[in-house]
Amino acid sequence: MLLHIALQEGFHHDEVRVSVDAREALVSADLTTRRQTGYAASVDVDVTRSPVVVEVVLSKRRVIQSNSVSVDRPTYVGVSLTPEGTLAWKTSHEPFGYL
Amino acid sequence: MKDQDHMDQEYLAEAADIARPGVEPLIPIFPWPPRLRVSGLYVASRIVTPPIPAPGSLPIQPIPIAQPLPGILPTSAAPWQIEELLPWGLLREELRLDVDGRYPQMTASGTLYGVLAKRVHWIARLTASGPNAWTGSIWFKDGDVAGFPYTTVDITTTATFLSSQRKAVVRLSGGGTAVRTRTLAFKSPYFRQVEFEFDCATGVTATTRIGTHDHPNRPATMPNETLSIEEVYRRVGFEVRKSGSDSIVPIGDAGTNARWSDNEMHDAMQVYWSRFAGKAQWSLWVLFAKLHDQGTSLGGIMFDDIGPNHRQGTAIFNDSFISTAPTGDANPAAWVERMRFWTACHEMGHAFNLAHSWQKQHPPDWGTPWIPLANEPEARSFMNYPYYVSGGQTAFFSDFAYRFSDNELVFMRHAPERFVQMGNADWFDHHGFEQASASPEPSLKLNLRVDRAQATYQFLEPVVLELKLTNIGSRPLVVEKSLLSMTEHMTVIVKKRDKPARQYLPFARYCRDQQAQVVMPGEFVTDSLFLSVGRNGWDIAEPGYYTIQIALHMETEDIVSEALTLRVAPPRGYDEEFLAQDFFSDDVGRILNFDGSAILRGGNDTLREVTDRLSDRAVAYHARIALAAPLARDYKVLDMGDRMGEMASAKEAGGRLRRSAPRIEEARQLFTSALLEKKEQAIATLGRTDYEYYLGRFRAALVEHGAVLKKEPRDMKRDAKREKNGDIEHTMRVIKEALSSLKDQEPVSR
Repeated sequence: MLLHIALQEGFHHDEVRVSVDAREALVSADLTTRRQTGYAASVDVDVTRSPVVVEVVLSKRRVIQSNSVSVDRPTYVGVSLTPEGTLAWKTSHEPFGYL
Repeated sequence: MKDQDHMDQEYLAEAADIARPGVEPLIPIFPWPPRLRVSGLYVASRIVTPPIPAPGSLPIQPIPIAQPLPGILPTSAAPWQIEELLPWGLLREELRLDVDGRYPQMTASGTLYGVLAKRVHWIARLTASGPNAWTGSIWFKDGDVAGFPYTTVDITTTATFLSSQRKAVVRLSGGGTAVRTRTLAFKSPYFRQVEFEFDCATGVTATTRIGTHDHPNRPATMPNETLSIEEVYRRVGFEVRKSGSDSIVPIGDAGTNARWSDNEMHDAMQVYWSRFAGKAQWSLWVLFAKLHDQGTSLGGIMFDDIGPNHRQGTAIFNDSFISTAPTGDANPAAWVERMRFWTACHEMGHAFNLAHSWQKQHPPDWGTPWIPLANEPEARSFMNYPYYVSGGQTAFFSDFAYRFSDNELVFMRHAPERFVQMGNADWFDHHGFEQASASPEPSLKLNLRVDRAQATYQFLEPVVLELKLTNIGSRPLVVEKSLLSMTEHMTVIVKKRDKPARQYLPFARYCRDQQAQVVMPGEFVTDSLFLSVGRNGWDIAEPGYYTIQIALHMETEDIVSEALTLRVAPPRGYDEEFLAQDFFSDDVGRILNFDGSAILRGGNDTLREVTDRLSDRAVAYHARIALAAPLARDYKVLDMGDRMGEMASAKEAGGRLRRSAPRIEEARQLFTSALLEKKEQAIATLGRTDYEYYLGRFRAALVEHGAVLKKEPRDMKRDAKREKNGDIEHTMRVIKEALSSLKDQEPVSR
């Protein structure tokens, strides 16, 4: 089943690591959001069980957050970094669109 | 006059809109009679050129001389008389009054444009203080604010159906300084101008207009109309024009995968956008294509963050997710069209430097916001994502009026130009003349030239530019005959590499009788500009690279030249370094500028030393001309006797005019050495225009002092025509004949 993870708003030269059930899914040493679209990076993961644990680590900011995501149908997870330095998660069953 | 008529008609139509049913009223219908709309742009300008008449009638009018006269203009004054009231140092003054019409923000902003980068921008929030009167506190200032202490603005307008008689009186007060009152003439119901160009990739159709009732999910009060992108931005307050003709961009330009990367779009923009230029301009390119490299998840992007001038290009991807209507939508085709239209307006909003509605507050490392703003996550704005609001896109479009939020309107209408204008960047290093009011389709082109293959100047060599103003339009134009000699019409910028830009200020301005001249399409007028030294001192002296740019201020627009880069070579040796200490003085500068002086003896001594020690260098040509000219004619000098140099009137000091007799033989030798011995070198350093002028002076001096021009009457007529056409060879032959005739005569006075 498709699990799409998108890193969206707020990233600025961040060192990011995303893992799904402890398996590395996305790594970037220098991630910055393109502000015109609010999009930074994304990864598609084929998962075989639900729920899964998605973990996002921002090394330089010392931010580590994880979330349990149910993936019983194609699922889209958006992760943004808030001005307060925390991660905001949103889950959808429709693909994200950027403008 | 045609523009004036057009504005009047537009204004009358606008007034008629007031009572037009089904359209958002500009102002309340009652009470009757309706109030006339006063919002728009008001200007005052120091430009002193009278309106250019149509070819055929060439009325000769005196040029009004600008004077610093603070105060309120009499109400009967014509707009071009208002322009006289700007003090020197200010080129233009603008007021954007935003109190009625579409989405009034009860805001006024003003910009005072001075020479160089001097500019003050202010914004005030207004409340009505009476009929056609508003008052408010200035809450934002930008630019050279040290000389702008005001804290309060009061504005009074004159509302009339004739736009030519509409004006605003702006009274600035507070800040512990005297009240400043100015009267500005109404110029436009729009705050700013912009132009769009819509191009499509092969096989793609641009959605640039929609029917507002095509989709059933809409506000109940939505007027039923066909709305264009241009109209959306007109309602923001821009006078929108289209540039070029909308064209097809071959899909091959997107590469083999037929999807567009940002770089491919940037390349296409450079090729297909008729306005592409490496500078800030109120102009935007919009590409309608199928897909971006990112795939269907990207509906559109302001892709232009490449190179020094950002925000000039946007793209809309018709085959992306925006072409997929929600399942079960009542009118999927209309939904898609509306989404494509909305996306185009959204991406274009980014080009005006608008962020997304949820990005107004952001971390400091994203950059400095122009003012602190709150996020607007629920805004029914083009800059919000419809599917981000509570209730999703259905809720969004049920309450969306095809507009930007109030904060966004304030930004686009009133923020400093450089924040909003496409491609804008730091002053001058990346572009020229931020303040110039240049037309996107100018009828005149100003070229700066030098009479040499490479713009490299010897050390000490004065720089003389050749200015060429060409009619590049299709209609004859009437211009002031000596326009290029009238430096009061110009802003001349000289910037040495890695140094701040300086404005060239000529030693003198000249009042001339105005003479009009018709310049046919393709024809041009030329003149020279002695640029090295002025009231600012020596603007061009030290070795290095200099960039020169000139804005010629016409009645309705500024003609801005391309920048010319020239190089001043290092000194050749000890003599040049030694002489430089005396040469780069105010006296020598004035002598060279005015072609000689009988008074500034120290400067003349320096120039004689130049002709002796640097006789083969270019500077010697200038020195010889400056030494020769005052010797070639009677020269009147004010003799103050022992009190020379004192601050006393000539009458008190017993001053009298003393006549200095010409020393024609000395002048002849200097002129001959400067003009006749090495003609090509002389033309290269003096410039062709000045060379011809000096030849004429030399010839006139010879004739005045006894030379005989042996010509038949028929030849004289032909020769006069040739001289008029600038035939240098012919003039030189005439002079050599004159010199020969002198040899046959008694020596003239020396």
